[in-house]
Formats: sequence, C-alpha cells, structure tokens
Amino acid sequence: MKTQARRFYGYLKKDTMLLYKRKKYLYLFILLPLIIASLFLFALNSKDYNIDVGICDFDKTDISRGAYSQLNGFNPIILPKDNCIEIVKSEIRLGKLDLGLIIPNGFANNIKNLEQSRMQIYYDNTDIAFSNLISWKVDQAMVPFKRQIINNLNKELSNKVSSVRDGIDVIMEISSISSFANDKIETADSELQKIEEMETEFLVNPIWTDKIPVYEEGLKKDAGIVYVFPILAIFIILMLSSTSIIYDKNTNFLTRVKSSASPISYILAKTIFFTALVLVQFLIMLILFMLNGASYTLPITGLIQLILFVGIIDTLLGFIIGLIANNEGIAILFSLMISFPLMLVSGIFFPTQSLPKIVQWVGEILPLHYQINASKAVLLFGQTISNTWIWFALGLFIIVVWLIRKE
Amino acid sequence: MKFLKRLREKKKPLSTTEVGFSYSNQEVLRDVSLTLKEGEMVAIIGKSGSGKSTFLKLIAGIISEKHTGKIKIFGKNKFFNKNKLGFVPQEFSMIPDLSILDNIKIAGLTLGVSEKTAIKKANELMSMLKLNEDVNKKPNQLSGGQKVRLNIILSILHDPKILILDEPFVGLDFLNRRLLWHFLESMRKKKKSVILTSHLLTETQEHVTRLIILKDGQVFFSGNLEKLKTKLKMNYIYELRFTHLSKENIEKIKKYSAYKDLKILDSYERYLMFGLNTERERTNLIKFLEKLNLKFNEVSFREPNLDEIFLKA
Repeated sequence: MKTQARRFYGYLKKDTMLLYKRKKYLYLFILLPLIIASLFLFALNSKDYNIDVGICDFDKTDISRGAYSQLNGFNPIILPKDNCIEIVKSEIRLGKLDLGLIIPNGFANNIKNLEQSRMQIYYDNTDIAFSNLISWKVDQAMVPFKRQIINNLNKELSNKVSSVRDGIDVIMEISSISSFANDKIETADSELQKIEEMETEFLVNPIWTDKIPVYEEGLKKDAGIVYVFPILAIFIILMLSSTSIIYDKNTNFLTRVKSSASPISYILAKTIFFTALVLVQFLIMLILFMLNGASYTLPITGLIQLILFVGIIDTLLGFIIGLIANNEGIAILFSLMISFPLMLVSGIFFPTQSLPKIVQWVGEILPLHYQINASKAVLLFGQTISNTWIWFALGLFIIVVWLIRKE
Repeated sequence: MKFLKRLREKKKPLSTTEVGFSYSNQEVLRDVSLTLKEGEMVAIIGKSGSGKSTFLKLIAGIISEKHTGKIKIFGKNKFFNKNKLGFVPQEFSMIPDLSILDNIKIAGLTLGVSEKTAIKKANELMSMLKLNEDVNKKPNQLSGGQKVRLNIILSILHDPKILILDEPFVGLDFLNRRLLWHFLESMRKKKKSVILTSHLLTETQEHVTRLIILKDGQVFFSGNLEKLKTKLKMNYIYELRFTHLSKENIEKIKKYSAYKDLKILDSYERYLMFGLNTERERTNLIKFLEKLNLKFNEVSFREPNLDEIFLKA
C-alpha cells in the first residue's frame, strides 16, 4: 500500500514539476482561459435556421394561421389550447422546442380594425447564441406576413380613398345637395375619419412580438460560463494530456512505468493531475464572470460532479489521442481536430438551430453537449447531475489501459 | 511433491517455460524456456530480429500483449513480483526537463521507494559506476557514456534481485564497457541475477556464466563457450589469403566445404575464413587447394572467439 502510494505521489509530483519547468505550458495554461473567456464576452452572429416553434393559437382564425404558416425557416408545431403556455415553457426548458409563439384571442380582429396586434415569443435565454439573435430572427421571419398585411391595408386604403373620391365627384356634379348626396358625404366623412384615426403603430408595425425568456432575465449573463468552461477545458486538457503522454513515451517514462508496475496507478495519478488543472481553470473563469456581474448557485456536490465529469472525460480522451499520435505535433492537431468541431456544434458560436439536422444530432451525442448541459444544471439551477457519465469514463479508461498495454 | 516443486520454483529468480509470442501474424518467439539461477549472469545473443529484446521485454512486462507459456519470477506470475525486476531499457529513460536529482527522486518513487532511499541508493550506485557529476545538471548535459550509466542507476534504485539489461553496451567506449562489466560482476557477487543482450560477443563470453543463442525466435543453444564449440564442431579458425582466386575456384571450394562439412565463415575478394573442427580437416583442405594449383598465405590458424562461433551458429 505504501509502495503504491509512493508511486502515485511520484506520478503526481512528476507532472507538477514538469508543468513548472516547461514554461510555455504554464503560460498557455494561465493565459488561454483569460483570453478566450474575455473574447467570449463579445456578441456573435449567425445564418440559416431550422427552428422548431410551438404554436399556441388562441385566435384560431385564417389570419392567425397565416401568421405562423408563413414564418421563414421556422417549423411550426401546433399545440393544444389547454395549458398551452405552460407546455411551451416546459418544452423549451427541456430543449424539445426552440421557441414558443403565442397568438392571443382577438389577434385577427385587431388587424381588421387596423389596430396593432401582439404576439408573445418564448425563448431559452440560456441558449446563448440563439437568444442573442432571437429578436432579429423572429422579426425577420414575420416580414412576409407583415408585408401581406400592409398590402391588404394599401388595398383597403385605395378603396376608401376611391369611395371618398366618388362622394366628392357627386358633390361636384350636383348643384343642390340631395339626400343621396348627403349620405355619400357622410360615408366619405366616416371613412376619412377612420383613416385619420388610424394608429401610427399599426402603420409602422402591424404585429408586435413580445420576446419573453423562459428563465429569469439575469441568467443570460450568467450562462456564459456554462459554455466557456467545458469548451475551454476540452480544448486545453485534450492538448495538455495528449502531449503529456507523448512526452512520457518519448522520454521512455512509460517504459519505466510498464516495467515497474501496472499502468493503472499511472493513469489514475495523471487523470487526477489534469482534473486538478480543470478545477483551476474553472475557478479562473468563475472569478472572471463573477467580476463581470454574474452570480451563481454553487452546490458543492454538483460542482464536484461537474469538475470530475469534465476533467476525467477530457483527460482520458487526451490520453487516447496521445497514445494514438506519434509526436506532440500530431497530438495537438488531433486535439484541435476534435475540439474545434465540438465547439462549433456546442451552440456558443453559432446557434445549433442554424446547423444541418445531422450535425445537430452528431453534436448531441458528443461529450461536450452533455458537459454543457451538466454545467447549465449545476451552475444556473443548482442541481446535481446524473452519474451515468462514469460508465462512459470507465469505457475510456479501459481503452486507455488497453492502448498502454499495446504500446 | 507439489509442495517441494513449488518450493524449488520459489528459489528460482526467473523461469520461463515454452514462451511463445507472435506479432502481426509473425512468430517472434517459439517455446523459449530458460531458468536463471541466483548470482548467475546470462547473455542472450542472436542476430538482429532473433527475438532477444522481445524476450526481455516480455519478462519485464513492457510488452504486455498475450503470449504463450509461463514467465515466473521467484515462482510467482511476473505481475505479482515485478518489483523484484530492474529493467534497463536500451533507450535512455530519463526526463530531460528535470535535473539528475529530480530524475532520481521520480524514478525512485515510480519504483516504489522513498525519495530519501532513492537518493541514498543512487549515491551508492553513482560511486560504483563512477558517475561523479553535479546532480543539479540536466541529463542532456551528460555524455553518452554517463547517460548509459545514469539510465542503469535509475532502473535499479529499488535494489532488484534480477537485473535485465537490453543492449547496455551500445555506444560505450572500451573503458566505459569495462566499468559496466565490473559493475555487473559486483552485482552478481551480491547474489543478483543478471540477464542481458549484447552484440559484443567476444567481450561477453569473458564475463557471463552462460550464453543463450536465440535463432529465429528459438533457443538454439544454452551453455558455456566450450559446450558451444563442441556443439558447432568448430575448434579452429583458419584464415587464408590467395594470390589469385577465380569465381570458378570459389565454387569448387564451396562444393568441397559443403561435402566435408566445413563452414566458410567469411569471404571477401581473395580472402577466406573457415571454421574447422580438427587439425586433420586443415591438412585435407590444404591438399585440396594445392590440387587446384592455388597459391595462398595462411593468415592464421587459431581458436575461434565468440563472434566467429556466432557466425557459424
């Protein structure tokens, strides 16, 4: 036992000493979280979408149906009226819907009366990239429908003006005002009055959309770390752990390990070392975000689960890369090759809704997706996370042991 | 009976029984059986690719892929007695970014001994191997010979009972080789068992207690030099330099040698080296060469060294 403990301590000490001695790694380790987390604070943009919208149509008219059937790039899903708003909110929180569109009763009537109609849009304000673009995107999607309404209004105005013109023409032609002419003048007067009283708001924007987040407004600012932490961890830990294995191979340290003991304590010690690095990175980011005004519920159990989940999985993935790659250059390229696509499908730089369905699906089965969800659950909602990741980690661990034995 | 057998097994530092190993459908080792006694120094020799290093790496657990046969260390499966082994890899196994002292500490911990014990043991070994360098230097600041010695020290800080050295003399000059042989002999005197591979056959024969020749992954021979000479029927080396030697005559000499079971160990232009068993064979060979009207000078007629015997093996 004492011997095992010494080995364990030896492996830990070796990597700690190396981190200090290899200055480039030390700088990288400190600077990267600072730079990337700072860069993250800038806004993002996006392109095409594939958005699932839950529809609560309380108006049930042709006009209300027209409002959602013409939405550009949206996939409307009609929901039953009963308890519809609550269903929308819950489905958005579960990630089953991207948006909720609530069309209130009287929506069509308002438009007919040339009054501005309102709709409510529900969205996930912790889905960073998507929520940043939601106002623009919804209004963009509504353009065809709004254009149609304005066209209808134009036609109606033309009719009304033509009616007034008829009345005036009659007055012009008949010298004495008959009762017929009097009626015409009154009609013209009424129509003119309608035009005069028409809402400016209606002319500017016939349909107003209220954007309502499904979570508290402040959560959006806090949500940054939910993405940045797992992304940065996978980016840095893949590189550090894979190159660390390459280093041990190149210096024949791995040979020494294999000749003196089973590789299990070696892998465990290294995994703990890199998980500790993940913790340090997390703390750096947490402090940075908190200084920027974010506030978090920090449940100890959930945090430990999260750090272990991210640290262990990323480290073991890095080990696999290191054991497959022949040298440090290849290991770094490997790490980039894995971490960059993961970042792109994570929903931080581009809304995942803008990606093709197959890419979204691939993104959902990759570990980063689960790590982001876990971060969200722990940091934003103070929840604990399911321990099913341990099985995944165990699978990776067995692969690493097998690769080391095969090395 | 079983108990006695087990007790006997426990006394043997190392025993392998019918060890076989294949890699990518290629058989590297076949039925390699070996017993290493306490205080014995054994050298495994063989051509490149004969399976020497693979065999040592299987014993040390560096190659952990499945093999056939059994490898036992003091009667137990090698996995349970790994700490009794000290494996010195052919390649340097040291961390270049850390000082010699830090390397000693880490290697010691990795081998399961405390830093203090590792430093103490390292000092003792450094003195034996005459490595009197500043321990704050980095390994890259050492010469090739010093690196080899440090490599050995880092591998045996846990004072193992069995030393396994894979080509330890590569890149060493004569003085460093002598130093290393003295060191290994002192280890042997301390009842340590040593098993090594080497290409320096002549030098090896002077120091080891037993030679094992691996040929195509199999044990071709196990014993001392005299036994090997008898086995190979090669007690003399006969070297000749001809004034003129045509291709036709070379063919005739080859046919004669094959017929009389003589071995042409080396040939280059007008030079030929024969491996002979008796002096009579030499007389007959001279008669045959005279029949061919060949003029030649005798370069030497002497006892063979291990390199020459190895040529025949």
